[in-house]
Amino acid sequence: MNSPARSSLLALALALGAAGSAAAAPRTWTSGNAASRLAEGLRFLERVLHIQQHGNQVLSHTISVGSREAMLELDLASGASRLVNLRAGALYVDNQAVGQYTVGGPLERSWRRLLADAGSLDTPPLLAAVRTWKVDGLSGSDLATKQRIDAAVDGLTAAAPVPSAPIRSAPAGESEAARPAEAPAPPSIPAPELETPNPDAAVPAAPSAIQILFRDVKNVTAIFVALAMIGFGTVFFARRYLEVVADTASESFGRSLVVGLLGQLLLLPTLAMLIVGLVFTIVGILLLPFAIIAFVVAVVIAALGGYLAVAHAIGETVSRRRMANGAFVRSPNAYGYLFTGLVGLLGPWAAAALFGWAGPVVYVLSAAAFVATWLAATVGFGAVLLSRAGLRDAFTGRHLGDQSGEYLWATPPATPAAPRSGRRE
Amino acid sequence: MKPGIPAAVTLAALLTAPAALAQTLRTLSSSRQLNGESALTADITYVAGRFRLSPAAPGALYQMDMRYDEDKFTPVRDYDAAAGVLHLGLKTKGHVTLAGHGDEKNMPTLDLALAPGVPLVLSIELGAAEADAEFGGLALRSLRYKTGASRSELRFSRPNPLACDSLTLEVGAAQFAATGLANANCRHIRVEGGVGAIALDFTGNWRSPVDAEVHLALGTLKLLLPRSLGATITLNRFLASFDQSGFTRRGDVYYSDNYASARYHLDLNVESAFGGIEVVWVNASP
Repeated sequence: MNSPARSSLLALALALGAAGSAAAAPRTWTSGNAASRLAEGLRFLERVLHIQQHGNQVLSHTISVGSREAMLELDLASGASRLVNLRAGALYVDNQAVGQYTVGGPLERSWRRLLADAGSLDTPPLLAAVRTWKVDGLSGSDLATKQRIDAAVDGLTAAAPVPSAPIRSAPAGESEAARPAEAPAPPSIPAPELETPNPDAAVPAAPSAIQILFRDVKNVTAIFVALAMIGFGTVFFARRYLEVVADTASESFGRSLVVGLLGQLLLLPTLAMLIVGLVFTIVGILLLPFAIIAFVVAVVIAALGGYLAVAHAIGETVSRRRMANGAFVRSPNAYGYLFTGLVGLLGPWAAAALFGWAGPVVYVLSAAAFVATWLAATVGFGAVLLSRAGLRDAFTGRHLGDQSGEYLWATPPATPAAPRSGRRE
Repeated sequence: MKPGIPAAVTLAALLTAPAALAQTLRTLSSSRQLNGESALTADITYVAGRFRLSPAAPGALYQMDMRYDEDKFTPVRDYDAAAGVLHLGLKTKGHVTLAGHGDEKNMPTLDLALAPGVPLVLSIELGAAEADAEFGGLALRSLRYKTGASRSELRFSRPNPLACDSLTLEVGAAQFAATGLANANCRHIRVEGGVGAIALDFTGNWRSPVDAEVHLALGTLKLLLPRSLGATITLNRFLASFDQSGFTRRGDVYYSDNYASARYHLDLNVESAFGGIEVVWVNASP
């Protein structure tokens, strides 16, 4: 449309818009609804005068081809769209069935070929291709449908691309303003700031000896109860494996200690190798978090189970010795052994707790308790590894025939040692 | 073997499984020409398959070619011209398995081209996808790139004509490489890595100093830095190795030997656990 004609239309559109507004309810006159009224007026005039070009300009297109349908969608500048779809023997224009065609016939084949070829085209050449599309040898409903497709795209024009405003390139170093022209030298290590004591700050009162005693005893008791609960559960559910690990620890103490030490040293390298090995593949990467969690859980279970097994071994040894000396043992079974062993293993911690108020001596007791705990955990960990978590009894000393350790303590026949041994074999 | 090959094979295996069964493949091509747009916010979502991104031909706002199984996926194509917001991509129809799409012929694909001359706020979210994205030539205001289990290669082959506010890369379990990051012209770069191998190449046309944060849980981080670039690395690591050659440590910060004399600077803050951090100095002028 040329410029004078457009100016006239604008004036007329404004007049129409104003007339329309007089009839409508009073509204606030804003630039937004002014533009809207102007656009409405223009569209009305274009329709009346059959010069509707802008609204029929095609801005974008979509081609979608599947086994069931072949569709062309043209988005118009007016905001509407024109949809031409051949689906299951029917032609749909704007989702309305307007014709029929032979499925797999020449019209459908040609339409699909047209859309396939046009897939890489921009909108103007696509529209030109559709408008000049010809199919030979059509008749009947196929011919009528072809004519309806032609009618559906008739009057549509391709809009020329309107380029965006040119981008002003960010000049080099524009953001450098924030940085000094000369780069700063690496800062030297600052001297540590000395804290100035605040005389007004409230100084918390130091706990009394009784408070320390109660706190430490409470902690040791809590740990004992927790370990005993876990240990009793282990005895209940996995007694056989616990006893194999315990026998391994007592019969192959030195070997278990060495294996436990080596196991501790190799824990991190093993974890690192696991990570590196898994990182090389995506499946491995996906498994990595689970593998690490499983590794950590396995190590914790091995260490805890080994510690409990050592407690069991200690308790069993002590109980059998007492029974061999004729003393009465109230519970000569795995629960009793575990209880006795835990009392023995936590004894140094209890001593440290009881004498925590006594000053530096607590450090000696704590160090001794720590060493005893580490030793028990290391031996137990090694026994777990040696016995394959209680599955292998090669180091339990059970293959020594009649001279096995079970009978060297001259245990009275009423003890559960015989059935336990018999069950295993 | 190149590291990408097992990843591609694994991705294919993940997607293939037993069913190369009956698929109803559908192709979708969509194109829109420029209509004076002054800015574009593009939101790309793509669940699985092969993804390619490149600058569009002159005159086009976007061009998209997609192939997918119409029984399992739904294409996303929505453009709000008034707001300048574009949504494109592919999403699943409810909960579906991705089996049966791994072989070359049946793998879903999305080739997308975006207008190079329109200021762009771009967000890309990929699922199990193999991605090859060329951002060089695009006018990026900001970029957020999120990927799940995938192999991604991002390139900034040409300088971004705009100053970019932020570049955020979120990598799940993936092999990820970004090259020419200096061309992105982003002042702030943030990389969130889950597990995998991440390579960040900071070569390109340096025009401003860059602050970068890299968080990597498990895996390896490879940093390619131009020799003439001044770099600091603030490290927070746990069971992660770091080769300090070319750096001088002061406190918690590693300074490159040329830091004081370099014209442009990269300040890196790296958090890593379980893995390794490797710095490779390359002969490229910033």
